[in-house]
Amino acid sequence: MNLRHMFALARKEFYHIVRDPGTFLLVTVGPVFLMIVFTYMLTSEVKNAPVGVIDHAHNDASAELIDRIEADPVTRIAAYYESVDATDLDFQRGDIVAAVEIPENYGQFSLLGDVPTVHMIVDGMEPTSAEQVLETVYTIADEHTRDLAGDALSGFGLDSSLLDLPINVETETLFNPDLRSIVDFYPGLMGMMLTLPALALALSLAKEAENGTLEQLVASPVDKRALLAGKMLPYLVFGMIDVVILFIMGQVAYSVPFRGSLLEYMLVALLFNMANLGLALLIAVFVRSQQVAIIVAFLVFFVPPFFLSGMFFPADAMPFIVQLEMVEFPSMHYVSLAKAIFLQGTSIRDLLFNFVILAILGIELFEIAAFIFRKKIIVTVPWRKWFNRDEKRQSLTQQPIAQSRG
Amino acid sequence: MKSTINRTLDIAWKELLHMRKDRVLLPFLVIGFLLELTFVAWATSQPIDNLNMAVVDLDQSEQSAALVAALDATDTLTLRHEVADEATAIEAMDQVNTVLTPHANTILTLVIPAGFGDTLTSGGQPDVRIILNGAESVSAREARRVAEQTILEQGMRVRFNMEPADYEDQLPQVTVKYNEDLERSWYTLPGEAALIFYMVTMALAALAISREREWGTYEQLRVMPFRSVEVILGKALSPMLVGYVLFLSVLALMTLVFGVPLRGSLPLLLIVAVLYLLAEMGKGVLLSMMARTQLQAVLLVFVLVMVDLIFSGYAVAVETLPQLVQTIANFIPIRHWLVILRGVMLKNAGLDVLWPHIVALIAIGAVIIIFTAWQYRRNAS
Repeated sequence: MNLRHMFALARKEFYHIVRDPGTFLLVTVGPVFLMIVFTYMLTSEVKNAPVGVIDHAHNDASAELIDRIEADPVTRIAAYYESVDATDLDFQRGDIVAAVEIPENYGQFSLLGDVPTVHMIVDGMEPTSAEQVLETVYTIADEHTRDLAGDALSGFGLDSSLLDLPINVETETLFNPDLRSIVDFYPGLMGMMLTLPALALALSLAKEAENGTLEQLVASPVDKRALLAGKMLPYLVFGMIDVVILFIMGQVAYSVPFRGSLLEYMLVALLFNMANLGLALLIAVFVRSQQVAIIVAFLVFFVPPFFLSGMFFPADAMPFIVQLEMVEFPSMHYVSLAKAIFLQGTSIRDLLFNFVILAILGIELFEIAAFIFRKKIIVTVPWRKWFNRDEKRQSLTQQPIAQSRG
Repeated sequence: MKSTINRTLDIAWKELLHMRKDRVLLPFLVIGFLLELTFVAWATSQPIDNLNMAVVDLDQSEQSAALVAALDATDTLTLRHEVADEATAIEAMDQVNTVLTPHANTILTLVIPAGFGDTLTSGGQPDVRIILNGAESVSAREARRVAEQTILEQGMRVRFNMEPADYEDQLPQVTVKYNEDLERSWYTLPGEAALIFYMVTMALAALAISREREWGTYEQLRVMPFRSVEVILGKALSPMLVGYVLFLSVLALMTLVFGVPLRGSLPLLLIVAVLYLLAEMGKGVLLSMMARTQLQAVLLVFVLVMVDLIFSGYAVAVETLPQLVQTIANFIPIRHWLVILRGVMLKNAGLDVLWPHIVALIAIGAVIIIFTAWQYRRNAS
């Protein structure tokens, strides 16, 4: 591999990136923008969820319960109804997400142990916020009933400690004290954002193929590995700049803790970037049109990492065969390493298996792409000519300029 | 002289021919996205269970053993380690237990202090400690919920000799509507279907004019005797057709294979789908006109999809978002479409409930198409 050739090509590619606003934005602002969208989408907490009330009691106790629901930041009282049936239409419209029915004898206890309890109805359509609303209202109602019962017991002259929970549970959370999901997702999401430069690389190569300039490059004395490496290098640099920006953004804007070694993380990010770009090269070598490159890249870069890398859904809940399959994707190793380094402060030494695989993928994917690339140019030319002739019979044909000249 | 409809159909036919010619694009779009839908369905319907649990039992009594057994018996938690003391337990939460998924560490460690059993049987309130692994926030939250509930039940059982059924009527009663089992896939699948439907058709529509521009046939299209609305509608029609077929297959996949209920009126859904598509296609063609190359068009679609995702209620209900976001969301077609799709499928909502959203869809669609046609004409002069 001739380094001078490589750097010359890298410079050419750099000019391409800087000249085209679309590509430039894609590799610089794109990841930051996407990160903001994703963090917003994935971590929004329920606030002021509208709750309806069916108050049959109309007494002090029910008024107090309503006040407590209104006061909680998660919920607010949106409407009052006469009966449960009357809530149906508003539930369908989505005007209320929960309703609380307070029984007539609410707050009145007898010594016989009759406990009047509220009935709550929750719109389960969206399970995540439904669970939050359910938990909030349930806890408020349960605590209120306990308070009322405690008062009642004292009124009867009994000890209210009878109502204490039988076992007291203390909870401590390691690594992420408030269980903020953003802390847990951020390191993995950073990896997802790094797929944007890879996408740009795949598109750039497909564009050269479409314009016919790839043939010229192949015909030039630059050897294939220098050619691919030169195309890859600027994207690698931009990718690493993105890593730094996203890292700072995580520390400043989202206060994501970082407990490991920065050097180790950067090394992991660099290898992951290389693996991603190698994958992009592989896609681009197989695919010769920009549209198809986009779709294949989407399927390879977004779907498996998102759903199967263990970023959101615990990977150990997946069937073993899927876990085995994921070994081939760089994203799974990246997510494992990044999470451990960020949150737990684990060293690479403890995750050597993932690190080694990531390193192998980082280098090997590029080599495979280079190997196939060379063969592809030689082998497919006659076949493509035949294919083109077949296509020309159709009235509407689009031929890349270089091929129609040939 | 052909009529407007004829001319519109002519352009649509030309677009269909383009689509047929590209042998890779369409199959990739359709198969790829159906595959993705399957993935999402499968991933979101996986229950979170068999989470690793470690126990530090300093009490070693009958009661502590019973508590551990009760936790181990739940689907969510599985006892993996018994650790001698707390410091070792915390260290163990860092450790790698499996080669393939090393971040699947111990999610929850239960510490039972000495004297637990004696305090409980003598009527006191003993303490236990739960240590959660916050690096897996989703699993940790689920583990905490299940652990707290199980510990409460076990405590009631030992101290008051009461089973959950005995005190159930003293706790608030809960009814869950529309999605009785809080099945996550019932919410994500219609959202995912709408997104796929949206992305595929937008991507196709966005290429419609930018392609002409890149090939240099745009000028020819200009000088042909077509009115601007005819061109816009003609360009929008063939992606709409593809989108509609895709919509039908995704709908069938969702209801027949993944068991999402369709409780409302199917004809209503089918008609509104056309209105929704019309609005989105207008948007796609508009983008296509703004872009100079196909690549730019696709990137614009990408950005637009990301922005729309915030407002659409794709991942979280719009009602729970800040007021400003909710207001902006009213101008986004996919937001209304998702309300209609989910409303009809899960809530059996009819016209009486959904009419404001349908009116909004029509209004947005009309504005977009008129604006696009106006832009097209303006470019000409």
